[in-house]
Amino acid sequence: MPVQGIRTVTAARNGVGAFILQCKRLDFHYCDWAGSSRGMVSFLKNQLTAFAKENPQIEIRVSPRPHKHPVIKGHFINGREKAVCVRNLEPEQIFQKANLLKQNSGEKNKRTKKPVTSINESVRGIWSPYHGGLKGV
Amino acid sequence: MRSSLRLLNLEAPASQRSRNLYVCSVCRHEARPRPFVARQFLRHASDSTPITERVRRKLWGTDNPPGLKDPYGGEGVFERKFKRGQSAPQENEPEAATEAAEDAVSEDSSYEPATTWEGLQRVGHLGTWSDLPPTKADAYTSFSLNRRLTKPVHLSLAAHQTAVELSLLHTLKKPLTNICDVIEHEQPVFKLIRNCKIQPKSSGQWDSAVVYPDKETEEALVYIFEQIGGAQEAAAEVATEVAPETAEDAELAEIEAAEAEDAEFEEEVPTTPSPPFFGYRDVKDKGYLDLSLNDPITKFAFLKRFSQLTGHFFPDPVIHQISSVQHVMKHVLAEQNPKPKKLADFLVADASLQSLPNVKIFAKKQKPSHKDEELGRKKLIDAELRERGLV
Amino acid sequence: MFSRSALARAFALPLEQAARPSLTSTTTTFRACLHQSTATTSTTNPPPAEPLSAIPRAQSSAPIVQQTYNNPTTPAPATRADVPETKQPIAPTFTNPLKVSQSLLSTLPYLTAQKPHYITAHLHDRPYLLTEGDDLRLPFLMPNVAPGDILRFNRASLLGSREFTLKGAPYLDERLFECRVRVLGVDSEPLRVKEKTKRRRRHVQKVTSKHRYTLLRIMEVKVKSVEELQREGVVVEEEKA
Repeated sequence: MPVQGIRTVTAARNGVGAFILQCKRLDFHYCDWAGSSRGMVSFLKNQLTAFAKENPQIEIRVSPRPHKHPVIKGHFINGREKAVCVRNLEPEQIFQKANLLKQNSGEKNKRTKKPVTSINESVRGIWSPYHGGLKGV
Repeated sequence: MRSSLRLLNLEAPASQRSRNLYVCSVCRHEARPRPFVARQFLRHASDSTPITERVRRKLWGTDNPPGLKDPYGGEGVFERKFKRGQSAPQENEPEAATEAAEDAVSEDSSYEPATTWEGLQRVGHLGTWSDLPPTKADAYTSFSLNRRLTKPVHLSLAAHQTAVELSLLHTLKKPLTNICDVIEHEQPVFKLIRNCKIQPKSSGQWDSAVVYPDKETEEALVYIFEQIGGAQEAAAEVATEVAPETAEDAELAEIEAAEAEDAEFEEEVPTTPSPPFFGYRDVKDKGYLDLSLNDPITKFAFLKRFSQLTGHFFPDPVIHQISSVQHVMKHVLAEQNPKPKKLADFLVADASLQSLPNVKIFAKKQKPSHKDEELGRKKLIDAELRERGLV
Repeated sequence: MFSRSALARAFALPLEQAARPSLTSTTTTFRACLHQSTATTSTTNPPPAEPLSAIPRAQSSAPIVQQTYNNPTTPAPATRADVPETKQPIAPTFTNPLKVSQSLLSTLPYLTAQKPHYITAHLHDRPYLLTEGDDLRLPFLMPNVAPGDILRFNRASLLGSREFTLKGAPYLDERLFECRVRVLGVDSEPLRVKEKTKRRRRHVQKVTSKHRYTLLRIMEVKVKSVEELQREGVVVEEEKA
């Protein structure tokens, strides 16, 4: 039997049909003893409930990490994870950082010049010199 | 090594040794403060003759060699110094003995303890204090209660009692802290106090805040509290007088039955069989909570009496913050169930957080092994490690 | 004027459409009619501004597309079920119906039928050439949007398929097409450090910046069919002779 190439099926593109948030999990780490965790502890005490209620699609894990600075770690559906150190931050700032991770795409930060990236074929086809208008020389 | 050191007399002189007790030389040398001399000189420590003398004898071949006892011109500087240091405590000892003897003598005759140090040869006890038999002053009795009352009912009973007592003293214009002389009231008196109600006239004033159930009680209580600070016995007498009037045997029996049932107290304090506040379990009114504690004297008196009754201690910052009886109760009750120190405990206790399905709270640090367990590969790893003999 | 490609395709058409005989008769006029901005080329064309340019309401609307329009005829995908009905975006109200020339109406089915479409949508007067499923990273952070929101681009200058292109003068009416995009999230660039120096001063000031961008994904690019337009009450203008 001859070797057959696998036919390409349409690639899954999140958001074209259904949309899943890129951030699937947020880990909140804190230290009970250290002063740099004060804002984090306050955030977890007072604002975590509201934050978790607002984002039911994100799994939230809270676990201590003794003798370390507090960290928020985001796990994304593309398999990557991003960690943000929130030492000595106020609860309000920590909320912003959590939001940042929530909205993030999980991709590595890159500088791009072109606004549009496409995996579609060109709609109008590739230009050919043998077709179309012939120029008189 | 310098010759003066080498020639030092290492042996303790014979006079220093106790004659009747045999002490081996090793112990003797261990006991002595050792100068910085090489250990080798202690080799012949058991001999009484110094090494120089022995050498001399050997040279002359006789036990009694001619010439100077010490060919090096007497004792060296170190030797002399060392000797003086050793002899000094020896001299002191007999002195101390004589002094002790004098003490014994003076105790018999008219001995007057000195109030100042002037004219005294030494200050302090001559013997050791641990040798003396215990005196009355040595026994320690705490001002406050030995145990802390923890039940809210007891605390509010104590607060109510304190409030009634203090407002009574207020109306009688007596010093407030006098009440602390009465450690515990007799049961009838306590019952009278308990039956009183407190209704502060305006903004937590203490004066005449007490509302008596009847005229009889008022007279009795006023009479009792007139005695306080003056004669204690009178109060006790009155208590016994009042007792047959007010005590209801049925009620008492009932209470006693309740006591018997309630084995908690017995276990807690086996030494004091009586439960706090004679087993009463309820406070009749809440008026005492409105009394203000802005007056520092009143506040002090209240806290003193309250801590005497309940065994609770109030730190200074808290005392500063307190401005009413309500605050006192709040502080004491808050002490009963302190806030959890660990954040995990707090979060686990939070019901609204627990009800959310997307929140997980861990009390322990999450390690890679936890991740293995979560992903279901922990057993495989474990089995593989076992197979290779690594676990 | 004819763009070069349009001319080329106009010539190329008969060759391709040998297999599709139904189209042959209309090809030349169709090409011409679609390019309505090229008013000088043919007399059959209606005046450029009238039929296809956006009507006053659309023109007065700001070029930004921040408010999402919920098309009443085709309900938007219900992704934001949590948003109550009263807070759903308001459908645009137009004072007068869409006017379309007879020639456009007759040739529009060819464009509609040829499936992959592209659109040059304008946002803050910047054109983005988009097809369905594309990723669009806006060069700015769009305020007041959350991941999962659906926006509708209502300003486009070009709309086309492989062989046909509808040109706006300068923009197409927003009732002719539907272009929906989904907000995916917020992306950021790596930290930029710009070293600033002054003359004769041994001090280098380092200025840092880290911009954030909104990520969008094109959900659909759709040209409305004639039936849809008629259902919405399109007014057909008679062509001037």
